[in-house]
Amino acid sequence: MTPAPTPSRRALYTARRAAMTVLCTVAAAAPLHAQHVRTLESARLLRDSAPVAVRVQFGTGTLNVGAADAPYLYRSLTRFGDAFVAPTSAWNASQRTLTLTGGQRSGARPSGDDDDRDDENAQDWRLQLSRRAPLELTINAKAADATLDLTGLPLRRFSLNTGAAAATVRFDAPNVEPMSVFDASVGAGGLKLIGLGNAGASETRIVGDVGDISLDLGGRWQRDMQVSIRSAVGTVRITAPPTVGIEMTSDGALSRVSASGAITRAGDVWRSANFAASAIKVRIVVTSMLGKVELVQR
Amino acid sequence: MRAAHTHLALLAALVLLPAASRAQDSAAPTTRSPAAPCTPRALTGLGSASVALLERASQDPIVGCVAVDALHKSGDFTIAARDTVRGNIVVLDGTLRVAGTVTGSAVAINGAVIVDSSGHVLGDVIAAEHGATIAAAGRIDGELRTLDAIEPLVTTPVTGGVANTLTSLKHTAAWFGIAILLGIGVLINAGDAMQRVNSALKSGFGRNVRIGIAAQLALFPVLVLLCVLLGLTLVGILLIPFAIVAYVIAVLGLLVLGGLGAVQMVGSGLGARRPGVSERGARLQALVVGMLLLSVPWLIAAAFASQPMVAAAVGTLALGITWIAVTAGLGAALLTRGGTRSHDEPWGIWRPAPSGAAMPVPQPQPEWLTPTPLTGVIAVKRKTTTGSGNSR
Repeated sequence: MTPAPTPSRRALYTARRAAMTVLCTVAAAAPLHAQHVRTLESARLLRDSAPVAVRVQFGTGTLNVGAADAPYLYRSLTRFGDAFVAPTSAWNASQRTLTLTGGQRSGARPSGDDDDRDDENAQDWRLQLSRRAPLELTINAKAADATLDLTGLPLRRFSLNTGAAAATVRFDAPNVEPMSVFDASVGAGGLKLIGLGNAGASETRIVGDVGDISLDLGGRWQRDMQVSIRSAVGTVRITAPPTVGIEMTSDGALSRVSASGAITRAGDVWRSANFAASAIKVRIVVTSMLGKVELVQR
Repeated sequence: MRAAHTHLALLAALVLLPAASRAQDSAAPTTRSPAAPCTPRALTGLGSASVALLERASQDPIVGCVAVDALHKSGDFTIAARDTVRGNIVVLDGTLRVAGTVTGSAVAINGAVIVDSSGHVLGDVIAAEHGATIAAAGRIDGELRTLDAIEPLVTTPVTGGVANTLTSLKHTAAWFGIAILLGIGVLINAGDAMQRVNSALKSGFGRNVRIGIAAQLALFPVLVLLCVLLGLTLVGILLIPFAIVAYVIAVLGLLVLGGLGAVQMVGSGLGARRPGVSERGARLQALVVGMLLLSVPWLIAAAFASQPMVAAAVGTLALGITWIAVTAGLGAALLTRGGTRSHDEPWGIWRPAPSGAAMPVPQPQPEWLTPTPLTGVIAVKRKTTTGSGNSR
């Protein structure tokens, strides 16, 4: 015989029942709708090799940049969800300017969905630019995880501005065009730069707000370079090959500097042992407000 | 009697209050309008399915008005080497081969585009579904776009309206489900505090509303004052961010406690307590009934999601009712010092209260007050009993 439930048991039972009801209600009320993801491939042909100024504007998502074979000025493969508009391009043939825009959120919300973090709602943009026409490339990536493989791109000038996401830039082969300035302004995500020697730039300027900045000075050096790094908070890590002469001046109230390899220090200046004799000299000025500066030669 | 008046006032508020906006959820179509209206050519000789497909394509920003402002062909079509098509050409369900010249754009919907080496397209090449093939010497002055499919747009307004309504109803039900869960949590962990808020609400609804409004008006000035006061010292400056967070949490806590107390009060007035139900069970029942009652105007507003004007009017009403309930609850939560004491207890004495009841505060007996001795001699003699002979 089952004993009659006490009032407190009844209350517990009522609470359980109410909780189950609420859970069922919430489960039933969960948005049920199919995400819609589109794939768009776009391209523009280029029959000549005159210089082109390219501006890439990217909002949110993942951005990959690489080189395209002739006869393309650009090739773009985009996968985007309902929350994004299709990428657009504007080509001015007379001024030789190209503006590519992607990763922009649409005004309309996807039906039945207000969760912008959904993977299906992401934007993935793979962009290839001409190997043939010399480029002045500017990339503004607001909140994108950007991987920029600039190998093979004939860059005369490069500028990168990022917001909240990380960026990786790499040169795996020497730039065929002499680059005047390599300019990078990174926000909170940090920057990883690989093969700066292949960039062929006479000047490199890097400004970082929060996040680590990593510079690999590898590659085939063609000329001397002035490097200026300003970092507010984060670690600045510079790795140089033994074939390059390095001179680093560090300026920062609350930063620590560590050096490894054949490097000597004289006040605020760190110099590699081969600096005087080296054919290629890289002069680096680091201003780090708060963080660590690591210089490694190996 | 007073409680009944309170319930009536809240119910009147349920019916009478005009107010604000819940129309955001109601109209969120997935269709993307083209930047400018298209000027279609007469879509003659095409089936209704083809016309619908073209109209859909024209609304797709990747294709645009080209879809309808064009020469239309069904099935495979070839522009011979010496031929020229003036303007745009669209091929449906087939392959468009361009060996000649197209002065506009060449489009294939549910098909492919092939540009031969002698082909020249002055506009864009757009291929939906089956891609494009461009010969090495083929010329495209515009952009080449290939896409997986035409965007499946919501075109039938009836379906869209029903979908919107269902979505709004689901959202509303989910929010109230979460609110009930929250209420159960508060009931389990701070049931006594909620009961005191409930008692305070029953003692004078209008007074609580007035206090709640005053509190809402004072929220920001008090925060500013707090920051200014903290800013007077160096340590205080460092504490400002923490103080802001703590302040916001405290205000949210008071709002939740007060709102749930108000909901419970309404529920306790409407739902008859079943015999044999414990005190805790009755409180839970009151909370659920009150929450369901409060959800009614919101659900009505959601049900009219496809009619924005009605939804806005009812949503305004629902918002007003909710605001009144939360405001009164905030006032009651403040009166009870966050449910820690009875509402009629005077301010300034900190003492834990027994469950739900107003607390009598024992006053110190005057005969045991002993003035501080000024010169080391006790100034007042302690009162002694005379009858027993145990005088000291």
